[in-house]
Amino acid sequence: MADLIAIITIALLFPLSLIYVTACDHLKGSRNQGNQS
Amino acid sequence: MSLNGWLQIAFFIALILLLAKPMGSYMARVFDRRRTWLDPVLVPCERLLYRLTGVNPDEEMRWTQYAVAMLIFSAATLILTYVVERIQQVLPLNPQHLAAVAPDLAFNTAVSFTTNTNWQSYTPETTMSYFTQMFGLATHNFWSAAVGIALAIAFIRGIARREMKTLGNFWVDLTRATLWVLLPICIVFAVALTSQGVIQNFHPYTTAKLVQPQTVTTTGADGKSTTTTVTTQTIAQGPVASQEAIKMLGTNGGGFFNTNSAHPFENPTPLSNFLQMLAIFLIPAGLTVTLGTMVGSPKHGWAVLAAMTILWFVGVLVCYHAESQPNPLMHNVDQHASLTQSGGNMEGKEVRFGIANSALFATVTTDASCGAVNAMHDSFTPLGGLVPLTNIMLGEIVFGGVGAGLYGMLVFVVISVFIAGLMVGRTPEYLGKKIEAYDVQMAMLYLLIFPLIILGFAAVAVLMPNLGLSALTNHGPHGLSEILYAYASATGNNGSAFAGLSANTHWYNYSLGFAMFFGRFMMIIPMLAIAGNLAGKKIVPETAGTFPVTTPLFTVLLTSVIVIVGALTFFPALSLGPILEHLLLHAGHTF
Repeated sequence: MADLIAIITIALLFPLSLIYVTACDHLKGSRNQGNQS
Repeated sequence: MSLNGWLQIAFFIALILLLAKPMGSYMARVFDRRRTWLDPVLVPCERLLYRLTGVNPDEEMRWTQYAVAMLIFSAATLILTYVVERIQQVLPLNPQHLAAVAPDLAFNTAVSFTTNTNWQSYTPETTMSYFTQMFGLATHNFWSAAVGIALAIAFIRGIARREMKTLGNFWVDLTRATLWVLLPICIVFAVALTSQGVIQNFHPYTTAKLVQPQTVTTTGADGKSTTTTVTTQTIAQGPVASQEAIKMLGTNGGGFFNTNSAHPFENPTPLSNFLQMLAIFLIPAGLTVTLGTMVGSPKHGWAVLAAMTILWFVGVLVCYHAESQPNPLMHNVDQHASLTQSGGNMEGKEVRFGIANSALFATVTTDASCGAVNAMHDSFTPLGGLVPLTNIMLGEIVFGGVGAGLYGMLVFVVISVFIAGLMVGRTPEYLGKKIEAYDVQMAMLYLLIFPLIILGFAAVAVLMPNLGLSALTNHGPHGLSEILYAYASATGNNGSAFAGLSANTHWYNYSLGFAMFFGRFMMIIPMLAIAGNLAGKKIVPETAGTFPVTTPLFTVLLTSVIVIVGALTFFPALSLGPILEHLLLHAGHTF
């Protein structure tokens, strides 16, 4: 059970980081769009 | 303080400044894929690795691809380490028949070594088999350091490139950092350490008979005291030198033994101690020259190195001075330095290193994100302990961890030129690149995540007596310093401990594990975003209004911004910890 908790925690942390990468990239995209308009 | 001590400190920094140029120039050649003298041996190895893994070394990556590759690599190696720890009892090289590592501790340790932190909530010689130490932990020391160097190189390319969308290839940078930089130096360094007496073997632990049996009284959980006579001592063995070399060079810091570089098998002589400190700063100092070379402005690299050296000097001055002072509570004791005693505060220090080398080591290990210790920081005077804590809280950008220190410093450079631009009412420029809103947003994200994690977790630990406070062995401001230090050390990926905190609990294993993870990856990503954005920009010609980043004025501004940001962020917490403890010590209270 404890192994499962640890592995699920690890498994959740990295997708969370990928979402963070996407969010940082998206922030740039939306800002550029704003500047163009 | 003594002249002898200051001469040793001066010799140390002089050697670092002398080695910075050859080291930095060599790394610039390696990452520009220019010819080096190691190519005949290493290029075939590199090609073989790419062929086996299917990597196309000529493929360039956008910052998001670079970040994803780094995350995938870190995730895979983290899980691998976790599994190795959990099944070490059935793996080879376990002569002491050590059991599997507990799940929460295995999670904490796997995150710790993946993130270059090397926080150790365990006693290595009674917890980790030789296989786990070598395959699970020492290899991570190489990988996490190589990842740090790769990221710094990606940031440098972001500054150097113009109108490009890519930052290089993560797999190539990782491979070249390991094969060309870390491995060759570590082989030489490990041999040098063995010459000083650092052990390297696979023997079972030695049982020695004590010359004089010791009587030990222990108190059990039921409160009953038991007295036993100890006649033997178990002396731990192991492959220490090979792990010690990368532990210092990669600014990892995780000791083979619990007492880390205070252990005579890990750091036997003043010379091995000096070499270990030198190894911590070697790559971070060299990377400033790599920066100058790759961006085509060597003076900028020297200006950044000058800012680092100033901040290092202030730290070592305060720490050495504080540790040389007599204890104000010991009124009738002669505490002056003489031929027969060191004077000052020798508690928690090794007599073979003394006060100067302990203060210098503590400053160096926390300027960088190393975390190795040759003295116990918990036993320092309050102001002496304030120095390592402050160094970590500044973000470990004073030389810093391999790679991590430089990219952290470059985020401060972005903030500094932004402030300089605000002062004169112009769009800030950095080496010809306009610094715009997105760059500053990402820089602020980088700067704000760090204190949010440290202070957030520390606040929760302090407010929950059953979870956070129950692990403390000291109360009052010293206890707060211990908790603050633990979360600062974890988030800053330093890994040194203030001691006095029994961190091998579910709460600390998981919360420190999260702090290490977020402190590494949540800061890398905005840094890479800045690099990716800078790479795509045009170079604008320098004008009379451009703030030069190669002058002493720039060095002073950069140093001031670092100190002001650090002070504004952490001074309230520090004033309740080590500063209050210092004032109360002089009022007659200890904790």
